[in-house]
Amino acid sequence: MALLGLSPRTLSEWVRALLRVPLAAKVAGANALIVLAALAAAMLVRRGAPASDSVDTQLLLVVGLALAGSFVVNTALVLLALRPLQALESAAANVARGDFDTRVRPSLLADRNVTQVGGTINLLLNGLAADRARTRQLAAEIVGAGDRERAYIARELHDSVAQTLAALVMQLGAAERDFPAPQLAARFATIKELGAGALEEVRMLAHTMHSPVLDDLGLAAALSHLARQQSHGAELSIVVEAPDAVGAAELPPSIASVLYRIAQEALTNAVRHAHATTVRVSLSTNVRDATLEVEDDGEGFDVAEAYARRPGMGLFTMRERVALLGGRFAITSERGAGTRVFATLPLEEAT
Amino acid sequence: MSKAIIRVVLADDHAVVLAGLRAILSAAPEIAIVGEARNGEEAVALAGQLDPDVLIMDLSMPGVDGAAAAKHISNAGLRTRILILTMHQEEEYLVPMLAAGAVGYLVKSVADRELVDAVRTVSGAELPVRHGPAKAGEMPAVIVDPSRAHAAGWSPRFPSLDDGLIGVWDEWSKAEVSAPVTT
Repeated sequence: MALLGLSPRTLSEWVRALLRVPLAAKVAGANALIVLAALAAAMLVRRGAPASDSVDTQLLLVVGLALAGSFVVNTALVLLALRPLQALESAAANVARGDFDTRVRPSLLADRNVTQVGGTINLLLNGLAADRARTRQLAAEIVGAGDRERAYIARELHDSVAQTLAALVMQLGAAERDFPAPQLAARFATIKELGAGALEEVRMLAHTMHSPVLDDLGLAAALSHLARQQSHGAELSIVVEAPDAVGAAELPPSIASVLYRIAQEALTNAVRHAHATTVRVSLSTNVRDATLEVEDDGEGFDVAEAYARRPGMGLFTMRERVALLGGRFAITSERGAGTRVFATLPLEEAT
Repeated sequence: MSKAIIRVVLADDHAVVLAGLRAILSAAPEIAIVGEARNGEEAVALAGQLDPDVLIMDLSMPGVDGAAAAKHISNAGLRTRILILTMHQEEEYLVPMLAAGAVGYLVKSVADRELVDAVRTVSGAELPVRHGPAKAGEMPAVIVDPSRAHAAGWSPRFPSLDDGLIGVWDEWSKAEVSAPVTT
């Protein structure tokens, strides 16, 4: 074996290598070996026998042709029999690539066993697809329920607690004015300060939980408010391009809320981490979808590396939320070349 | 200083807030509360029946909200001047309110100090008492839109923006470019 220029192998390695040869090649090889062996045997027999026996020559020719014919037929049959296995193989390759919509195509050539294997694989794939759809549906419901709950608590804080605190401050102001007592002035001031502080805290908390601007005035107004909020105290300009028509009634709440959150995360990233000086937020809609783009001129980052390090980072969790609504999401960024966040959501799928 | 009575209608869906507003306004003898509404619909009806000088109205109310009620009232050609009193400190709320016909906008958290002056200002009875200048980036407590005021037959004289809490919409919105609002 070493003489043949091959690396030395043990016998068992050769056996394993031979076993791995595709079936069609094995059958063809075996047939060819049989034909060659038969021909060699016939030659040997002829050499020992008296020369120029025409019957022997004819017989030899017939046997040789029959063997060659059998080789061709065998090879063809095996190749045909293996065709359906290729369908299984290509389906498996599609699944490995992540295409779960693929199915094994039924073949007229397949025998019962192969048909059954293909059928079982298709059943499994159907089950997998149903489970994935259910998981996605459940995840969407959980996210939606979470959003609704946050919005509800924020509204309650804003509508009841904050109103009561505002009324408290009003009453304190009126009481102080109606019953002026110099020895109480400092106390009144402290109490009013506490009340006003609590009111401000409740307002901020409600805001952080859910933007009232988004609910009351729609996404365009909420984005412009967000931009003003984020650029406050920072050395950057945020340009918002949003059609005024994108009001509260124009977009389904689930879509408006996800796009708002994406803008929030992208702006936080641009301001806090990328130290951008200019950010462009643009919102566009048509009958089919709503698209949000946030582009900054900041430091940029290695998306794959950041994802590996912090998959729970705000921006990355947005990817899932967009997928839940059947949309597309992309973060393009490079060190020193800014960041672009893109999300587009279909309007008809929203509920 | 005019001592004519300023007739006021209050509209807010929170009873505690109405009580707070009454307590604050009770200090001003020239201000008389002639009616109280618990939603936008009642506010529109009272504005029509009572013909008040000023309607102090919450922005968020169930059913017909402050913006819709303001639109009704200004479309009906009533002379009542609308002062929006709200929890919302975001500029985004202000613009549609002024467009709907409100002449003033006051944030609830400063109502105990500013409400009486705001009512006087909006009614046109008296120029506002001057306060210290607003902090940089802070929305003035009261915002008035002069073009709206003129349309309503009111020619107020405004203190300049630097004078403090009473802001003129045009000037303030321009200043806003360099001094963003905090929320």
